[in-house]
Amino acid sequence: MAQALYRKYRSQTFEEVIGQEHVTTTLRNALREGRIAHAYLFSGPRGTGKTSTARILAKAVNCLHPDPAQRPDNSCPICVAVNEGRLVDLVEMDAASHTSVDHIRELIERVSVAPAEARYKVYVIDEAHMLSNAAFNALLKTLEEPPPHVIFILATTEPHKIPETVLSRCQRFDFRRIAAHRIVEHLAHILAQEGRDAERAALEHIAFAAEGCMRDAVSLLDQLLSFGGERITLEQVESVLGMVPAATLARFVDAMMARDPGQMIAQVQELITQGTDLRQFSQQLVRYLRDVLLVRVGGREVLPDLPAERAAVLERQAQGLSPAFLVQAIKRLNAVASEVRSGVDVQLALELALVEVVSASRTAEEQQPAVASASSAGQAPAETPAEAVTAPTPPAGDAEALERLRRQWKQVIQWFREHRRFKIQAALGSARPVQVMGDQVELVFKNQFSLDMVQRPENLRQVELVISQVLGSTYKVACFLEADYQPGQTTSTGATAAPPPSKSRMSEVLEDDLVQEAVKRGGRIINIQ
Amino acid sequence: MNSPPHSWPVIGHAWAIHLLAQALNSGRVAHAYLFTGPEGIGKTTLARAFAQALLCREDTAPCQVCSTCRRVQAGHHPDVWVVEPERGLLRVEQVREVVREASRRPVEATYRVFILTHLEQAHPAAANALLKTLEEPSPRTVLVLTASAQDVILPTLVSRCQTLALRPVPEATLVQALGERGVDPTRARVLARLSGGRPGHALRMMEDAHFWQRRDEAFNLVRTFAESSSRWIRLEAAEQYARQEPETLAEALELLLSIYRDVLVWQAGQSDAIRHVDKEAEIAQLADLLSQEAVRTMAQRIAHVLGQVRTPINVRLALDVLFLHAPSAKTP
Repeated sequence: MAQALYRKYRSQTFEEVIGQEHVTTTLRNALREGRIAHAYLFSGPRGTGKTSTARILAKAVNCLHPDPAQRPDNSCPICVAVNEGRLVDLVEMDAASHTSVDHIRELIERVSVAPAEARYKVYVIDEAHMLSNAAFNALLKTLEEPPPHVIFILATTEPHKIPETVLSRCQRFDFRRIAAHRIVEHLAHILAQEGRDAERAALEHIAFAAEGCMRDAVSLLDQLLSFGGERITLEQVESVLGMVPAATLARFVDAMMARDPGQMIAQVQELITQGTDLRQFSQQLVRYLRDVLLVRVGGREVLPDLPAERAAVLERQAQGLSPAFLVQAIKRLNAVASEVRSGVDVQLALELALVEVVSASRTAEEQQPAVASASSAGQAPAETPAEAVTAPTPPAGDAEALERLRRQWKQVIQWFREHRRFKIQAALGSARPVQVMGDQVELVFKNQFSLDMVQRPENLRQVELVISQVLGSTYKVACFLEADYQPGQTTSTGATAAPPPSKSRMSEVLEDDLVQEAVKRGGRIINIQ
Repeated sequence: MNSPPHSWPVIGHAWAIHLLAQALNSGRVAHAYLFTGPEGIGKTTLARAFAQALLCREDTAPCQVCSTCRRVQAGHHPDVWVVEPERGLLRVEQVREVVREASRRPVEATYRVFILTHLEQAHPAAANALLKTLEEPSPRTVLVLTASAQDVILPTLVSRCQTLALRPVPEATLVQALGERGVDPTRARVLARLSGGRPGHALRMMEDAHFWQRRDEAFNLVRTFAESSSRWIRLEAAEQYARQEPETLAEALELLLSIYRDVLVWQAGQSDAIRHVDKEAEIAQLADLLSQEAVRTMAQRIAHVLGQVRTPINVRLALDVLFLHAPSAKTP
């Protein structure tokens, strides 16, 4: 069986550890000066070189090369023994499958025994966060006063699960995600060693999908190599990753811009007929919309890595989609993308989300100008009489201020547009002033999201400032959700003026089909509440 | 990507089969694989077929005829282990047994294959216990893990495996496979579409003797709701539905949802995208009768209740509320 590539190309020297120079340089300097700690903690995401570095460190402290700067030389008997996995003084323990305190006790008992052939006994505890509390406590004493010939290296992906008492006794090194271009370089290097070839775009795609984890990237490469074939192509990578080409996504977002649910459903149908994983498609779509949003609020400079033609498409689409719409769509689609319960019909969930996003924005657009034109035309909005009548003796100034604010509401929104505060602009678009009382202006919002946006202290201050300017004196702003806003004083005109029921309540109740059925089955009406 | 024909007993996933066969032929079999995809997509089926291909000694491996192939298929081969969660949990003891067994030599074949299904149901300790074996297994041992998705299992597990994310099987492939099993073409299309490209799901519906009858009942219910706003009818339907077991209830609700979805799709002008392709006339009628807004809201409500039926809720109450909101022609 072929050895996995990520094991075959495990780094053997500090120089070969990729993207962790801040760790390896420090370690090498310390080694040169003979400053060796007794306990190290290597933390960081998976596949970033923790275990590899631990093994290299184990070799370096034991290497027989006379010049400390040259260690590990990978040729002395000790280094060779480590590389072949047979140095008895290097003990690797997988904490994940040996979580219990007994395993640690067993290990500690042997700590005091001098190393057999090397200078130091090195204990590497992988996945250290999996140790039980008792195990950690058992380890504590040894970490505090280890015999001089012992080095502990704890490696973990989740340092926050390591007790403080252990952390403080270790020298800690944080490993970072590896930059995509470094991964591409390394993949190209492996390919050269293996005598194989790949399209540059294919490697970039792999690196992108690996999200900074070298082991993922190399595993994927390994998988693609086992495809056979002359050259690894972008098409192969997309096929293995199940990704949809960017052009398909662009077409999809065009349908979104046209607010055409039919077109979107047709495209989803086409994708599923081809056998596309719709959950992954949703994830890609979310990422794509995020890019559109970034371009919308920050211009194309925010995505410098994008090829020019793709950036042009994004820019065009960014012009046609409001930030509020984009945020709404991203939120809704993200819920679909992160839906992991098995048995859920992803196609349906996706279709519903799409129809919802598009139709919600359509109604918002239809309503917004209607309100604006009504108030700008100087007509009193429908709710004004009710409020004016029932507000507890409103000082004349308040009603007038409200009226003025309503007339100039468009300008308030416009101000934020002109000052490029698009998020606030969008949020205020779904809000309207309903009440002015003393120095307080009350706004109601159509949705929670917009409300939260304006509620943020720094945004609220700005909104207050602008409103104060419009009204010519200082006001505070209170925000409410439209659905929740029920100032006790505003009774709707409809309710009070409703004509008295023309029929008696009894005959009305008897018309209800449920009651009819009950009566049919021998029920009797005793009381109506 | 076009792949050559093969003899694997799997519907669809030609690219994955091609990949695994290539690895086998070129001697690049990895020590650990992870197959991901939704329930019924064919992960375990593919894993079993891969085990057959690894063990079968015929030229046309997996030949499906030799004793090895047949015993793997039946689950009797001593070198192929299938480990499934017990009552929704893959326990650490089960994994430890695999770890222990994985260090042994094959009994009679060239490989030992361990298929661990539903890794998303693994206890965290169980998943962690697998790590070392996955990274440095004994030679001649192949582990195949399956899970509903990559991001629901331990990332450190994923990165130690070669991952094959199985995708929905294209409609044409599925229709053909169902046709070969004696389903008529129109019904095959309905099943293919309803299954969302999951062969296992389609086959289950095919084998269910009452499926078509239940679907007709679901259509009747939607139409009854549409034609009458009677609350009595709605509550009576809720009572009937509430009597079912959670699993069958979920399936019944999924059927209702698929009908409302088709109506919605029809209203959006995409008559080609409906799933119940044999019920065009009926769907067109419903699309006429009901408002788009009401259909959309109902679909959302059903999806919401569906998300809850497997949790301990007052099913009757949830169904009462759901059906009372079912759109009828009078609903705006």
